Order: sequence, then C-alpha cells, then structure tokens
Amino acid sequence: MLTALADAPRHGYAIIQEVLAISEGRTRLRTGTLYTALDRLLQQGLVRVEGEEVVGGRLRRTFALTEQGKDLLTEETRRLRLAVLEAERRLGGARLRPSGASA
Amino acid sequence: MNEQHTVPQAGRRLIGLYPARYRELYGEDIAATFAEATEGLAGRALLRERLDLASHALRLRLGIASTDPAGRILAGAAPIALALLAGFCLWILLPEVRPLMHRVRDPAASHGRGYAVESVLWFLATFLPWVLALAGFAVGRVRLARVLGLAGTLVWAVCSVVFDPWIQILYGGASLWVALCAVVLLAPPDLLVGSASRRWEATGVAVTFAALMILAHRTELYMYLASFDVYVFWPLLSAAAVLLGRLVVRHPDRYGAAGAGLLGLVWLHPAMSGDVLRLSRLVELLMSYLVLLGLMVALAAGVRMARRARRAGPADPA
Repeated sequence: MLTALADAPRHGYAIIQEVLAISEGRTRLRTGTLYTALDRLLQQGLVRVEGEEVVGGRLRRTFALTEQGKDLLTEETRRLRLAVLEAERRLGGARLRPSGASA
Repeated sequence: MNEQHTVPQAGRRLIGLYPARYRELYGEDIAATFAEATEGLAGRALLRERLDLASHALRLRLGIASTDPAGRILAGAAPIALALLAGFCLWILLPEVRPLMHRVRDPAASHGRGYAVESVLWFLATFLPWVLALAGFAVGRVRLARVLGLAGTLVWAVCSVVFDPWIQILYGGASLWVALCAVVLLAPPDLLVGSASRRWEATGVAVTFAALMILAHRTELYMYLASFDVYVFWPLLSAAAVLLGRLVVRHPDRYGAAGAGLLGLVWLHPAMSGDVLRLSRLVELLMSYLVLLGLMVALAAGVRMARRARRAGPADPA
C-alpha cells in the first residue's frame, strides 16, 4: 500500500486498483481490508489524509505518504534491493560453475 | 465508469454497522469505495466484499480493530491459542496413528469395517483440523487456518454433546475450545499476516506441547506431572515463556505480551480441573501462574536494564 501511494496521493478505490496492478493481479484488496490497513497506517503516522473532494455528490478522501512513510518505504526498498542483488550475484556465480566444481 | 456512485441498499446497511463517530468521518468515503469495488460483482465475490466490510465495521464497534489495544492483545494471544489447541490435538493424534490403521485393517467382528471407518473418520475430523490450521498459519494462510479451526471446534462441540460426559472429563470440554477458537477468530487478521516470528513461535509451542505430553504419558514423569495438573503445566509455562520473549526483544511488544499472559488465564478454564469443579485447585493454579508472570515481567525488566547499562557503559579511557 505504501508503494501504491509513493508516486501520488490516491483515494480508496484508486489504491485498490494500484495494488492490483503492482501485484500483477495477485492481490485484490477488499474495501474492509483496505480501510483496516489505512486505519493502522494513519495511526502509525505513515499515511495522512491529503484532501477531500466531492465526486458524484460524494465526499472522497485522498491519502498520501507522510515523510515517515516515505522514509520507511525507502529503507524497505533498499533492503529488498540488496537482497535482489545478492540473489542475482549468487545465481550468476552458479551459472559460471554449473557442475558445482570448486573455482 | 459511472460517475455517480450510488450505494446499494445492502451497502448502506453495512455502513450503518460502523460506530457513529467513525461513520461520520469515513462513512461516505468507504461507501463510495465500496460502490466502485462491488460494481459488476455478483455471487461469492460480492458476498466476500460484504463480509469483509461487515467484519471491519464490527471490529471497530467492538473495539477489537488492529488499531485498538484490545485488538492488539487478541493478536498477541491468537497464535498461542492456535498453538495450544494444535499441540493438544497432535498429542492425541500421533500415538493413535497405528491403532487407528489397525482398527480399519482388522476391524472387530462384532462391529464390522463400516463402524471402524466411521469411528476413525470422527476421530480425524475432531483432531486433525487444528493441526492443519497450525500448518496453514505457519505458511501464512491465516484465513485458511481460521476456517479449519472453526470446523474443528464445531466438530468438537458436536462430539462433546454426543459423547458427553466422557469427553468433557478427559479434555476439558467444548467451552475451552470455543473460548480459544473465539480468540483466534476475533484477532485482527492484518496483525497476524506476515509475522514470521509469530509463526515460528506458534509452531514451537505446539510441537513442544505435544512432545512433552506424549513423553509424560509414556514415562514415569507422568506420575509427577499428574499431581500438578498435566493439562495445565506446559500451556501456562509456554504462555509465560512467550510473554518473556516478547518483552526482552529490542522493540518489546507489550500488547503481544499481555495477550500471551491473558491466554494462560483462558487455558485455566475451570473445566480443565476435571469432572468436579475444584475451585481451590483452580485458585492455587491461578496464583502460581500470576507469580510466574510476575517473575517473567521482572526478569524482562532486568534484562532490559542490563542492556541499557551496557550500552551506556563508561567510554574506553584509551
């Protein structure tokens, strides 16, 4: 969800669609689950209510990352990038030595 | 897409389940998201959306959402509840595997194979679901774990009614199972998903519980443990150990620790005392457990103080 809000503030349904796209269709948040997570992220100060607008006669809130949320996402991205690099390095090494022979 | 998101009657009723204050703040927003998310949905997909929204609303109304202290305490207790029930079932199941196979292969002449198969199926239906629920939880399938746990509890409740009082006397009756199952079902799922340490913790508690109970019943140890209520000893000890573990880590989980501590109290259900409600024994166990919890809290505080003192130690004079 933090990734879904990383580039722009979004309202509830847009977050659902964004998470679906990011996960390549694997994760479809339901409305109750979405607001459960939003409640927690708001309480932890990782997300804030960016604004309110009336769409189709209804009040809609848009949510955005706070600085703390951005920091956490940056840190998590760095951690995952290191893990990916390490996996790629080892896979590359494995390809060079397919029979398991010592270097 | 339809610009005017009209919320259907069912959606409006669901929004009505939210506490007034929350509804005032987020009601319209949730209604609009729900209307868009359910557009074009029918059948089970629509039912799941409605159940999910109702669950969120009721959690907030009952004060057990993941943002509420009670919700976080429940989330701390749920893995232990699941582990103790799964461990209990493992203890019953494992020693019975060979006798059950024998019963089906070579049924008693007076009852026939049909009866043997039926009794084995009842046995498995009673004890296997919680073991599978733990397996589901261990691989992060919380929803599956809950469904299996609920199924196991329902079968257990039916067994309690059908075979009562035998089953009540031996295993503490359906009320304990229902209470522990309620803890698992009521815990906010978003706090249970993705916590690898909780999964390992639960698996460890269950396997150790089963192993110790099997060991206790196969050795002389049982004679000693029986006097200290064999069904209560390890669950309370493991709840206290989990409480300690959650308090001594670098970022202590106080709600989780409280959940583990309180879960021990649920296990001390009066029915566990046996066929007669032995209040004095229950009070004795309760007092011992509270003392144990006190010791664990003091030990955790000591460890944290020692860690702080080491960190703030004198600088190297060199």
